[in-house]
Amino acid sequence: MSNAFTGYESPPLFEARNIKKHFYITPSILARALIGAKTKVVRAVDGVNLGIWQGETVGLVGESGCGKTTLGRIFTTLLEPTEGQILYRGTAVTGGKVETVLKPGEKPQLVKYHRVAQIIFQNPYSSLNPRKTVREIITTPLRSRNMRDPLEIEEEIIRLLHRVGLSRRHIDSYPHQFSGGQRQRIGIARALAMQPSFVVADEPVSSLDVSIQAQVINLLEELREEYNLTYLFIAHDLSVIYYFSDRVAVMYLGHIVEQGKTTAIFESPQHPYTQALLAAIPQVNKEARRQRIILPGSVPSPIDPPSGCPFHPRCFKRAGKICEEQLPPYFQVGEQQVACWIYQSYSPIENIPAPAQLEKKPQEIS
Amino acid sequence: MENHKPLLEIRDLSVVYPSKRGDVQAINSIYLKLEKGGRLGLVGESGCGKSTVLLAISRLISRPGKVTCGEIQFKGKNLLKLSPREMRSVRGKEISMIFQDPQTTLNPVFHVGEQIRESLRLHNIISSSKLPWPFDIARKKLEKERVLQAMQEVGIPSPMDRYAIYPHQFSGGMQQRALIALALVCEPSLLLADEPTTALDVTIQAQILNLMLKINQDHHTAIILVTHDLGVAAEFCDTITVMYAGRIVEQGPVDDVTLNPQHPYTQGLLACRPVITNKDQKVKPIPGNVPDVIDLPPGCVFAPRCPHTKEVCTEGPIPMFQTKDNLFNRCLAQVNFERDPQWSWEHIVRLCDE
Amino acid sequence: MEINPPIAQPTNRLIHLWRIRLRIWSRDTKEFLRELIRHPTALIGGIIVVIYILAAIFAPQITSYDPSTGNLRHRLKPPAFMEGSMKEYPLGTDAQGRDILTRIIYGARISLLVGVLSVGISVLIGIVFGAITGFYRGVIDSIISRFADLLMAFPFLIFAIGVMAFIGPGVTNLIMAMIFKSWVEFFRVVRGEMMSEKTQEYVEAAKVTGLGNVAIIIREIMPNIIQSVFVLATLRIGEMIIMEASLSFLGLGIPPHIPAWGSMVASGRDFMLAAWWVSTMPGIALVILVLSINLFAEGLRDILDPRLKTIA
Repeated sequence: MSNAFTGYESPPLFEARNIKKHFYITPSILARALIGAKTKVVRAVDGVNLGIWQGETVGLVGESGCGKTTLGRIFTTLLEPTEGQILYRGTAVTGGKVETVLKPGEKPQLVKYHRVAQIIFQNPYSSLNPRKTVREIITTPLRSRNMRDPLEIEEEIIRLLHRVGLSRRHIDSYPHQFSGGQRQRIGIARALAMQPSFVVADEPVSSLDVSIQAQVINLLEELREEYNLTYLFIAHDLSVIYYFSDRVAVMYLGHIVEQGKTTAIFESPQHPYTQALLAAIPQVNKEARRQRIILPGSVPSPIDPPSGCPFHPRCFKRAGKICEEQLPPYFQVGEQQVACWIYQSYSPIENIPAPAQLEKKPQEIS
Repeated sequence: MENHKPLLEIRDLSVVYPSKRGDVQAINSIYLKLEKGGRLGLVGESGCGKSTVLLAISRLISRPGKVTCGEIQFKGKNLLKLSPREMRSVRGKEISMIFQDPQTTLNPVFHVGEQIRESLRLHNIISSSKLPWPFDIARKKLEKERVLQAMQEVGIPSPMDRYAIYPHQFSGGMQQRALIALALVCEPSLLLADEPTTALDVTIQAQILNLMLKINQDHHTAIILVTHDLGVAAEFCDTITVMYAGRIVEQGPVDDVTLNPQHPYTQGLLACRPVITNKDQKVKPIPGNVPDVIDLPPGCVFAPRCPHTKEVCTEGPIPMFQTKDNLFNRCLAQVNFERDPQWSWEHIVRLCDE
Repeated sequence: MEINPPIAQPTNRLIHLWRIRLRIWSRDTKEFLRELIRHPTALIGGIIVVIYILAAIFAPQITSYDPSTGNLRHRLKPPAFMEGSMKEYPLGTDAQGRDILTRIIYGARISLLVGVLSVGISVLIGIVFGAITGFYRGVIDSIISRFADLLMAFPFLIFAIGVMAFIGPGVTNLIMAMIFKSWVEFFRVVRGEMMSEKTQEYVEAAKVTGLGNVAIIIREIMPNIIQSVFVLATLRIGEMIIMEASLSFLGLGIPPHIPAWGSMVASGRDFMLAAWWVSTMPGIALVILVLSINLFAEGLRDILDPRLKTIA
């Protein structure tokens, strides 16, 4: 639903290349000496390649423990990957700075990465400092933008508040005086204050009531049109992902198992996990309901992932012994890329391809 | 002539929580009916009072809240009139409850199997000899077998191994299953489920809902499912009750309520969810916020956010209208209400009592 | 609030900024005072503490006697409500003819000074160490934590006695002895809170809006931690005052001619039966002060804590 899509010929604006993030749980020296406790490795993200093109919205979906939140944090450099890199316009993001054009027509300059990429957090209750007023919360990013004049700052804060649907009389209130939906709006205003071109939205509506979710989703959509934003939209709610994303990447245990155009994935999911996931969504609309697939067992922990394909212990469509032995590469199946051995007769792909051109023509950018 | 009584019938139930700022009317004039083996869904957003209804049924409203009027008929007895002792024998044995977060509901310092067995022990399900419980070996053995059987039934694999482990060693889905086993081990006729799947992943949610359906069909256990997800309610229940700000706004068979909702709030709830079959269909949020429960507007509580408000909507309390057999809603605009100038509001309210 | 049209002079902007700050500060203070009134015990405690502080500051103005030298002819005169007393000495005199009331008021200076300074400096040390170790962890955390554990192993009074015996008497030495061990508690609290606050999402938000680590510690996390530290500190002031009294009772700490409650109690030890007021009056003064401080601190905890969680 974005209107500033430039098409997929150019290289991606952001790219995650071979990203791995492992957390190490080291027991204390005493435990290691006495009971021989070993260091445990949490393989939160275990080899992810994801490209995000300018103007598009990529939905990242998966259940708890799949690593989507970790990947979102890595995209904003809040977490350092154990291996792999984040690339901005083809160059690795190092030292927290990137070279970019801030205003059209200007020369490219070296700025902090956070001027370009921002994040909206999931929990509206813990993502705002309870001891700070709204004014102070939004002043911080404006200061980072080198705004110094307090009157100018105040004008900008009021403008941002109006943009997200809050009034100026809220400017000196504390977060605990707002409802969940309003707090989330404050978080959005804070992210916008840096004037980013890329926003990682980490489950922005999951903790809100249904009717408020719709308000915030609409707000995010308006902002996308107005500021020509690129989104990485992380959620576990598939209906919201369907509504908001152009492309979807499905994650399971630190791997992307399927990615492709949203409509393609929802209409004809290829990976068995995606099929089960879509079948599990409870639907009011009877036509939208699919044949229920009940997966056995529970989501395994990323501490001890299975060998080979991470999904094979719960899979209902095994291709054979190879599922336990080797991690499948991506195969191009129709319009999506699937990491599953049952498609081994299709052509495997090495790099992330530029996905097929969308039917929509990009709108003129004034 | 039908002399058949429903399993559970609630008439005119109201619960009030006094607070420093005024009395909070948590639920106001609730009418519910549930047959044996039925599945009722209580749907609404946070703060609408749906959990309070469950707490009122099991008489767990904590002070200073209290039930101000109404009656809860369960198997012929009015639950509100029972003594605490009698109520304790009902709770857990005939009416069971499962909660949203299994992590905090299960006691972390006891084995899971022991917690399930405690329910059996408290209600003396397995008949005992005169010995006190720690020494009654035969009874303990029978109870343990019953617990293992219950764990097997809810789908906990190899219950023998899992009997003596602690809740934190289970995954979220397994914990919820253990909770369900705990609730069902005494074979209650009514199960109250307060958002049991909200904290779970969607594939696990499907498993748990499937399990609850199986239990409902095998044991004819009636279930009241509280949820904020209309999809879950639509798939699982046969009757749906929609609540807003402590009142029932629409009630009826699931197909009627979900396919042809009469009340603007229900319509709004359906319209504000993205629809997976059509990518271009816009999401239409309900404007405004849920009102502060202390400062409710007179007349229809939904009127400030309703697109169809008429002048008459804000004048007085809105009664429930019956549009078909078993189908009710509380909206003047939908029912083409013609107000006769001679009628007073009290007159209408009394007349339209179901 | 209307925005003034932007004027080129920087002073107007600064005035504007400070006006906003003043407004917020006065609003928060008014709410605090309103809450305080709703906790009468805290209010009474607070008022009494303020009275003591004012009396200590203005001691020379409100007393007419010299606290160090006395009139030997008026030794051991009883307090005003007993017979044989003199009107000029409302609470009686001690063994050297010094007015007890005057000495109590001057003694308040020592007690309050020692109490506030020792707690204040302990808090500062504890905050600095706690913030650094809690935020950065690693080797420095291990070293300082183990050192703190070591210090905790010593019982406080005995430790203070030992230190005082080593470095000699005097007010500053007394304060140093008390700080030596009491910073550990604040260090622990700050470190624990820092470790848990560090993982909060608003800290990540601060990183993403461009703040560096030091700025995050000072401007984002500290305001959240200060609350609990403050309440703890006010409770500890009472303890420190008692400690000082204990140490000066034992003869370590304050030289006897300087009025301090502890040594006053000690000096009256020999006359407990004949002239009980010499020991008892300073004792009562001590009890009232510590009780008031504690009541105020408890009330403070109630006021500050849930306020964070209420939805207005």
